[in-house]
Amino acid sequence: MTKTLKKNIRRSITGSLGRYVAILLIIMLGVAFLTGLRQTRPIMTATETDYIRRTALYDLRLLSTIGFDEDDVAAVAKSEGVTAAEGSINADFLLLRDDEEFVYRAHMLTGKINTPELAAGNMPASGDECLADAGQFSEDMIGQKITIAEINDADTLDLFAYREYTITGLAYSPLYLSVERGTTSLGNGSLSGFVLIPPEGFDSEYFTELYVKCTDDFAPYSDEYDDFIETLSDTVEADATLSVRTRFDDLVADGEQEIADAEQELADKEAEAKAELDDAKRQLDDAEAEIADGETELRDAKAELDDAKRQLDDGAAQLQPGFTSWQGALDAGWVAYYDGQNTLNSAIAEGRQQLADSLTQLEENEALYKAGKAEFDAGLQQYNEYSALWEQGYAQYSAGLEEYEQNYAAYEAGLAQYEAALEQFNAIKDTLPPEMAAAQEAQLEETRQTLELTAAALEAAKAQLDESGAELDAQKAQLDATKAQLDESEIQLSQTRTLLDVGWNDYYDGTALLDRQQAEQQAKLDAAYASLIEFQNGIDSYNDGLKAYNEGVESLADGRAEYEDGLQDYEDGRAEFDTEIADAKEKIADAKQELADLSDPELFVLTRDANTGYVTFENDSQIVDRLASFFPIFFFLIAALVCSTTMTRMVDDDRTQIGTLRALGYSRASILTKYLLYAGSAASLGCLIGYLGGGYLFPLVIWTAYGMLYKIPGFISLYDPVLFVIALLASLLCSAGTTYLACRHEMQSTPADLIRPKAPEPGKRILLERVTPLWKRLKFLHKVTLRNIFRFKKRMFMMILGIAGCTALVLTGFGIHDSVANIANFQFDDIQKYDISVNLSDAITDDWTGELEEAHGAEMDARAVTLMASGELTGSTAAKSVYLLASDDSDITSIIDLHLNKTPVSYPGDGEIVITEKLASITGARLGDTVTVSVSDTDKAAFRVAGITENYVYNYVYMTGKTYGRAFKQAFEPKTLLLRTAEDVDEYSLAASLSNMDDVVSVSVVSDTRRTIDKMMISLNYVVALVLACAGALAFIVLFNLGNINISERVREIATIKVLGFHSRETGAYVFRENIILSMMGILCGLPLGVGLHAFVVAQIQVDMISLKYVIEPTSYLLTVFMVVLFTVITDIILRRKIARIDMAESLKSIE
Amino acid sequence: MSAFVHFEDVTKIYRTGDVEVRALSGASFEIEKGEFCVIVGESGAGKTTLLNILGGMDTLTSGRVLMDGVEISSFNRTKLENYRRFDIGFVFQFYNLIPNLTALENVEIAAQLCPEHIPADEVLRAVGLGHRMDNFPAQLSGGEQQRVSIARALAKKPKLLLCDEPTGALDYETGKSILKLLQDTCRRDGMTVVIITHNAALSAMADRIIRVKSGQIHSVRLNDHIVPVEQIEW
Repeated sequence: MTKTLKKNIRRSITGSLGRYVAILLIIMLGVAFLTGLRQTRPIMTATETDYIRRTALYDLRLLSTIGFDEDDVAAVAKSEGVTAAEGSINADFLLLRDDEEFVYRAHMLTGKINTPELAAGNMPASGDECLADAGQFSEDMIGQKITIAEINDADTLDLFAYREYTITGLAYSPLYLSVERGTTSLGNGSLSGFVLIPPEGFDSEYFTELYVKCTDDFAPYSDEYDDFIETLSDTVEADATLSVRTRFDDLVADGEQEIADAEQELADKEAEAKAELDDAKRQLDDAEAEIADGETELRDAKAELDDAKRQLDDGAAQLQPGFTSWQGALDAGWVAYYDGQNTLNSAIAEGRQQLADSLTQLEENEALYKAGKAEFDAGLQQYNEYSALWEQGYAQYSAGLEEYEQNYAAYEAGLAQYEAALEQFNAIKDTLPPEMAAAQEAQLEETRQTLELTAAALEAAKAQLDESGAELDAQKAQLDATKAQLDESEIQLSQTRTLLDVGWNDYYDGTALLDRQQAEQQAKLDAAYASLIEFQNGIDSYNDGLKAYNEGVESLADGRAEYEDGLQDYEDGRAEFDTEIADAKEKIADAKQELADLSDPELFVLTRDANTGYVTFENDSQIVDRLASFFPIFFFLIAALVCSTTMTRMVDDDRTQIGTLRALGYSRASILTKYLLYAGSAASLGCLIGYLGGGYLFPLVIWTAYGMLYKIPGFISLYDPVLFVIALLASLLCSAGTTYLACRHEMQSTPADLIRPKAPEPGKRILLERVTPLWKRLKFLHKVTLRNIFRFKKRMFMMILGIAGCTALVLTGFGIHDSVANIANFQFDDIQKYDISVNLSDAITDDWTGELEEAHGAEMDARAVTLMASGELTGSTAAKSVYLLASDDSDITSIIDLHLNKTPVSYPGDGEIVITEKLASITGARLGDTVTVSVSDTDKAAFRVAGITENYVYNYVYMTGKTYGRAFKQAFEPKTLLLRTAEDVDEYSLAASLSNMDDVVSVSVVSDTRRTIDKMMISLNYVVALVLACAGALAFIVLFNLGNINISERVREIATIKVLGFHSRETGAYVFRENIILSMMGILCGLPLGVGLHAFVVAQIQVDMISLKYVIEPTSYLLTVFMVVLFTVITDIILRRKIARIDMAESLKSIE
Repeated sequence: MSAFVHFEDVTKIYRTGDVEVRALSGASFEIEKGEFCVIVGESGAGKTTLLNILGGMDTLTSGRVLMDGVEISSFNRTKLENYRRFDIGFVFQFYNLIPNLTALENVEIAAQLCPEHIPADEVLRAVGLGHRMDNFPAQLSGGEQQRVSIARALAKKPKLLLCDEPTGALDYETGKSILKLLQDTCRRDGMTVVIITHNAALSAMADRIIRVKSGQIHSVRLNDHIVPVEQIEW
C-alpha cells in the first residue's frame, strides 16, 4: 500500500467522521452489549466467590439437638478434609426501638469462618461490644448501644452476658449475602438484621451451631464442589455424631448422677425443713402458754384495778359527794385543803397579832412602869439627894448666918471705933496740920468707905442669907411636896406593878393557848393534805395501773395475733413444705422420666444450600446469562446491517475515485484494503472500546442493581480474552465482511465503467400507480415520496429491517418487564391464595385445628391441612425437582386455585396428579401421560397427569393425601397448614402468635417470598432497562445513520428543490415523509418480530424457580411505538438542521 | 423609475476561518425588463456569486439589490424562499431533474408551488416535449432534459429566468437549440432572461452584456448589433 493510499484512508476517515463514528459506535454498542452481558455473570460469581473466600463462608453448618461443646468442635476440626471448624451461637432477640419491636439475630463473632467485613468503625474489643448489620444500621449508630430488651424470654436473656452492647462498627457477613434477613419465631416473625458479638459477650456452655470450612479449591456452585461437600459432609457427620453421642452419654450419666444427688439433697432438705417446722411448732406452743399466763395476770390486775377504783370512788365521794370525776373530787379536795390552810393561817395570824398587840401593850406598860419606877427611883434619889443637899444648904445657911452675925458684930465694933475715931478727929480736926488732917481725913474716909463697903457686903450677905433662908424654906416645902408625891407615886407604882403582872400572866396564857390551837388545826390540815396526796397518788397509780392493764391487754392481743400469724406461717410453711417436697419429688420423677425418655441426639448437617442468599444468588445471576446468549446476536445483526448500508454508500460515493485509482493502476486488493481498513479500524476500535467499557460498565450497572438484593462488598472486573477474540471477529465480520460485499460489485466493474458517473437509479412507476383511483387521490408530493421509497429498494429494505430490529428489541425489553411483572401477584393472589404456612413437628390433628380455630378463628379466612414435600418428577424428556402438595382437606380448592388460561382445573382425584405448566414443558409430560414422582431415592410411584395448571413460582405437583399415602406406602401425615388471613389482619403478628402454638416448628409468611420474588424481578428489570437503553441507542444510531445516508445521497436533489423555492418545512417534509413512512413500516414489521423475539428470550431466561409469562401488555406495544417514533422524530429534528445547512450551490455543481 | 434589476455597489465576501475571499466587490449594474442579458466572465470571476445573489440563494455582504422595485438584499430566509418560489425560474447546467419523476412530474413539482402557474403539459409542449411527457429523465437526452428544466422554470411564470451555463453540458447543436428556446421565450413572452456563461460568444445574441472580471463589473454594454442564435459560432 502506498503512502498516498494511507493518506487517502486517513482523509476519508477525517472527511467522513460521522460515518466512521457511526460504524464505531454501533460496533461498540454491540460489543459492549455482548461483553457486558456475557461478563456479568462471571463477574458476579467471581465477586461473590472472592467475597465468600475472603470471608471464609462455611461449607458445612452443623446443628445438634444438644448443641456442641469445645470437644465436639475439636473432633470435627480433626475430621478429614476439614480445614477449620468453629463453634458459634446464634440467638434471636427482641429489640425495642421507639416502642416498636424488632427482631435481630445475634451471632458469635467467629475468627476463622464467616468472618465479617467491616464497612465502618472498628472490631469489638470486649464482650459488651458488637458489630452491627451494615445493611440495616447507619454509620451514626456507631458508638450507640443496643439493648437486649427485658421482654425477651429468660432463656434468651440468659444467653447474653450483657444487657447492652456498644456498636463499634458496621459489618457485612457472608451469612447474609441476600438483603433478605430471613424469618424468626419471635416478634413479628421477620428478622430485621444481625449483630455480631464476641464470644465473651455470650454466656453459654454450649455452641448452638458448628461451622466447618474446607478447601477453597472448588468454585462455588460447581459440581466438583457439590460432590466434594457431599463426601465431606458424610465424614464430618460421622465424626460429629460420634463426639456428640459420647457427650450425650456423659450427659445422661451426669443426669442420673444429678438425679441421685437431687434425691439425696431432697431427703436432707426434707429432714432439715421438718426439724425447722417442729421447732417452730414448739415455739408456738410456748407462746400460747405465755399468752394464757398473761391473761390470768391481767385478770388479777383488773380486779385490783377495780378495787382501786372503788376506793378512789369512795375517796372521791368523800372529797366531793356526788362527784363527777375523781379529778374533780381531788380538785375540790385540794380547794378545801387550801381554804382550810388559809383560814387557819389567817386565824393564827390574827391571834398572833392580838397577842403581839397585847405584848406590845404590856411591854409598853412595863416600860412605862419601869420608866415610872425609874423616875420614882430617880425622884426618890433626887429627893434624897435634894434632902441631903438642903440639909447641906441649911447647914451652910446656918453657918452663914452665924458668920454674918459675927461679921455684923465685928462691923458694929468697927463702926463704933470709927464714930469714936471721927469725933476725936472732928474734935482735933481743926487743930491737926491740914496735911495730917487730909491724910487723917482720907484715912478716916477710907476707913469709913471700907466700913460702908463692909456694911453693903453685910447688907448683901444679910439679903442673901435672907434669900437663902427663903429658898431653903421653899426648898423645904418642895421637898416636902416631893416627898408626898413620891410617896403617892410609890403607891401608884405598886398598883401598876400588880396590874402589869396580871397582864403578863394573861399574855402568856393567851400565847400558850394559841400555840396549842394552831398545832391542833395544823395537824388536822396536814392529815387532810396527806390524804389528798394519797388520793392523788391513788388516781395516778390507778391510771398507771389501768394503762398498764390496757397495754397488757393490747400486748396480749398482739401476742395472740402474732401467735396466730406464727401459727398460720407454720401451717403455710407446712403446706409449702408438703408442696415443695411433692414438687421436688415430681421434678425428680420428671427428670427421671425425661432421662428415660431422652431420645438419642440428632445431628443435622447443612450445606450452603441452606443459605438462601447463597442459593438464590446463583439463580438470580443466571438470568443475565440467559439474556446474554441471544440479545448480542441481534445487536450484531443490526450492526452488520448498518455497516453494510454505510459502506455501500461510501463505496458508491467513491465510485469515480475507485475507477480513477484503478485506471491509475492500483490493484483491486489495495483499493479493497482501503475500505476494509476503513470499516475494520472503526469496528476494531469500537470493539475495543465496547469490550473494555461494556465489559466493565454493564456488569457494574447490573451489579449495582443486584445490590438491592445482595450485599456483597467489592466488585471484580474480569476480561475474558476469548470473548474479546469472538467479539473482534464478530465486529470484523459485520464491518469488513459487509464492506467486502459492498465493494465486490465495484471491484468487478471495469475502470472505464467506474469513471463514468453511475447512472442515477432510473425512475420507475411503482405498483401502486396501477391502482389508479387511489393513486389519483394522492397528493402530488406524496406520490413523489412513495415513488422515492420504492426507488431505492436496498435502502428501503435496510431501513425497514433496521427499524424493525430496534422495534423488536425495545418491544422485547418492555415485554420482559411485562413477563416479569405481577408474577408474584398472579402466583399468590390467583393461584396460591394463602398468606401463611405453618409447619408442625407432627401430623396436624383435629384437636390442634380446634385449638387454632378457637384462638385465631376470627383472624383466618380459610385454611387447609396439607403435606408439603420435595421430590422429583420424571417425564418423558427430563426430570425436574418439584414440590409435592398433598391434601385431603375439602377446603384445599379455596386455598389453591388451579386453573389454566382462565379455565378451572379440578383438583386431582385418586391416583392422579396435576402438574404445573412449566413442569409439563420441561419434562415433556402431557395430559394423560404417566409420569414418575419420587420423594426419595427409594420411594417412587407412577401417576397419571390429570391436569396441567398455571403456575409462576416454583414447580408443584398436586395430589390427594390418599394418593400420596398409597403411592409412597406410608401414612399420610399432613404437617403443613396453609391459611389465608381475614381482611385487615396483619399476617406477621398472626404468624408470630401462631409460632408460639404447640408443635409449631416454623411459620412462614408468603409476603416474604413475594418480596424476594419481587426484588428478583426488580433486579431483572434493571437488566431490562439496560437492554432497553441499548436498544434505544441502537434504534437511534440506525435511524440516524440511515437518515444521514439518505440525505447525503440526495444533497443535489434537496439543493435543487430548495432552489425551486421549497420552503424549509416543505423540503424537510419532502425528505422525511419517506423516513417516517419507512419508520412506520419498520415498526409494523418490528412488532411481530418483537413478539417472536420476546417469546424466544423469555424461553431463554426462564429460571428454575420462576415461570415467566409469554405476555406483552398493550401498553408495551404503545410504549415501543412511541419510543421508536420518538427516535424518528429526534432524528428528523437533527437531520432537518442538516438539510437546512445544505448549500443551494450544491445544485450548481457538476455531477461527479 | 429604476431598472428591473438593479445592482448597487454589491460586495460579497466569503469567510472561511481567517481567509477572506472577496468574490464580488462594488458590483453595480442594471437590467431592464424583457431584456436578454448575458453575464460573461472567466471561471472564478464571480459570476456564480452574482447568480447566487440574484437567484436569492445567497446573501450579500454590502450593497443593494433591487428586483422589480423590491429590495431583495434585505430579505430574510422565508422571503428569499418566496422570492425563489414566485419570482425566479432557474435553469441548471446539469438540469437537476429529479430522477424518479417523469418529465411532466418534474415540471409539476415546480408548477404546483405557484398558484398561478402554466399547466405543466402546456409548458412542456411549448418547449417541444409534448411527446415525451411521461418519460423519466434517464430516458431523455441531455437537450431534452434541459428543455424539461426550462419548462420547469417557466411553468412558475417567473419574473426572471436565470440560466447557469445552460449549454455547458450540451453539444453544440443542442446548445444552440436551447439558446434559441431561451431567446424565443424572451422575445415572444417578454421574459427577462439572464444567462450566466463563460462563453463570450453567447454575448453576441444578448441585449445587454455584462462582463465580470476578478469580482468586479468590467463592463456593461448594450448590444446594438444582435446576432441571431443560428449565426453564433463557438
